Amino acid sequence: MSEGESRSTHFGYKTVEADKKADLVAGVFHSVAAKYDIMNDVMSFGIHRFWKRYTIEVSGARPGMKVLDLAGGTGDLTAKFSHLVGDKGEVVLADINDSMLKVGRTKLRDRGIVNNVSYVQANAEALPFPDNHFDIITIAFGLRNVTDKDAALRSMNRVLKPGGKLLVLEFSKPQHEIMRKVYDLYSFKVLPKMGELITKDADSYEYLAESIRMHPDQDTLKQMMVDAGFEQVDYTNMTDGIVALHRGYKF
Amino acid sequence: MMPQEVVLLACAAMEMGLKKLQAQAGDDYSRQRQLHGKVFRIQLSQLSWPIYLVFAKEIQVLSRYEGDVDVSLHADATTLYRVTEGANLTELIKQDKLKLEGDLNLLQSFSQYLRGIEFDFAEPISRYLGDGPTHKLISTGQQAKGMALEVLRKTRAHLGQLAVEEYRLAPHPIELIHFRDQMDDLVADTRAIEQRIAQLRDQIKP
Repeated sequence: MSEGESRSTHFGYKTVEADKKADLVAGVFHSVAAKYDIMNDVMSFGIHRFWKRYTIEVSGARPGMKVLDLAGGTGDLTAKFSHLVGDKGEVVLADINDSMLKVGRTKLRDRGIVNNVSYVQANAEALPFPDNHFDIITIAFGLRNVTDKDAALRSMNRVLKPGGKLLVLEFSKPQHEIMRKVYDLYSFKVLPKMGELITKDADSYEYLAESIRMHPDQDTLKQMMVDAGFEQVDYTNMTDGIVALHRGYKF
Repeated sequence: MMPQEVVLLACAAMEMGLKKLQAQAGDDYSRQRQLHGKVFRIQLSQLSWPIYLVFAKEIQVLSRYEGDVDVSLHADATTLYRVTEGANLTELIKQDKLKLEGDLNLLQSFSQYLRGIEFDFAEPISRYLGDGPTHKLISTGQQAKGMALEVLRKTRAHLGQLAVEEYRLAPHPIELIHFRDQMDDLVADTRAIEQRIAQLRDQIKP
């Protein structure tokens, strides 16, 4: 990958300077924040709910736990975690993008989820939390947009308690050729059109499709997690590998 | 992956259902204070996976859970249905239809909560149709149900009459009573003869 030494990184298929990527990604999410939820449902035909539900079940959250929902966007996972950890637990919804964070906060408050959730605007590469602080960290569809993924994984490892686990839910590589063809057709031809119709913003969805292709595949990400210090790393493919859930522990 | 997805879908459906019930019941759920924060594990004999009910602000339904469980329940679906209908729990446990570990009172209050909810179909429909048409729809529905039941009752009576009076396939109730009386007489006579034979035998034997 081109990040690191050359001080440039990819933004979808384009190559940009590393310190510009965050701003560019921010631009994408500022423009889609308001209709993020509805787009998720339309684009994935509602399957993203499955992926998230599975993540919740694998997380093993229980009362009293501290959970960090990184790049939590509009708070789907946070809402679930908030119910599961109860009054004694704590959920932190962190996102680098304040538009998404505001949408998430409004949504959760409207649903009456207030007492055990706090909101932090944070960059995953340098998390503003003490060492050994969280029992569970989840990052759902967020790692892709981080400029320096290795730094982000190391930072997550730092704030995770020994015995805690990290769950990375992210788009990945379909396992079968037919699926890959269908998926390519869908994400490069259909998605930007849909984005144009619903949010009047085709570019953002083009970026979405491109950034998914640039994201490391299952085994590469697994190795990255091992390099960052996680142990017993494994992954589960969902919907034929369009999405993979990686799980790693810190001991 | 397939069964896993079915499991997730089933859990999601149950959760949606419970959420709708909760919305219908207003503050009934908040009043069931002792349930809050508790976790039920329900293993139906028809299913290969357990169902966990986490009683948070909204009831959460999961297929795996690593925390402590307050009530663990093992039953088949019909028994569970009877529990929600308010069947006697101790009776079911005695009959071995229900295996329970944990607090019986919690299960009882959950069963009570479910029984307390009367699902009002008019409420959700009225949001789409408006009050007037909904009322019309519901009352027409109720009338239709009443009429259907009446037709069913009449048909049954008619068929009964046909079988008894017209084709003489089945006996009339009075005939049946008469027959039973005759049977009783026959039984009494047989007993009398039995005794008589026994007496005679005793006389023969020295």
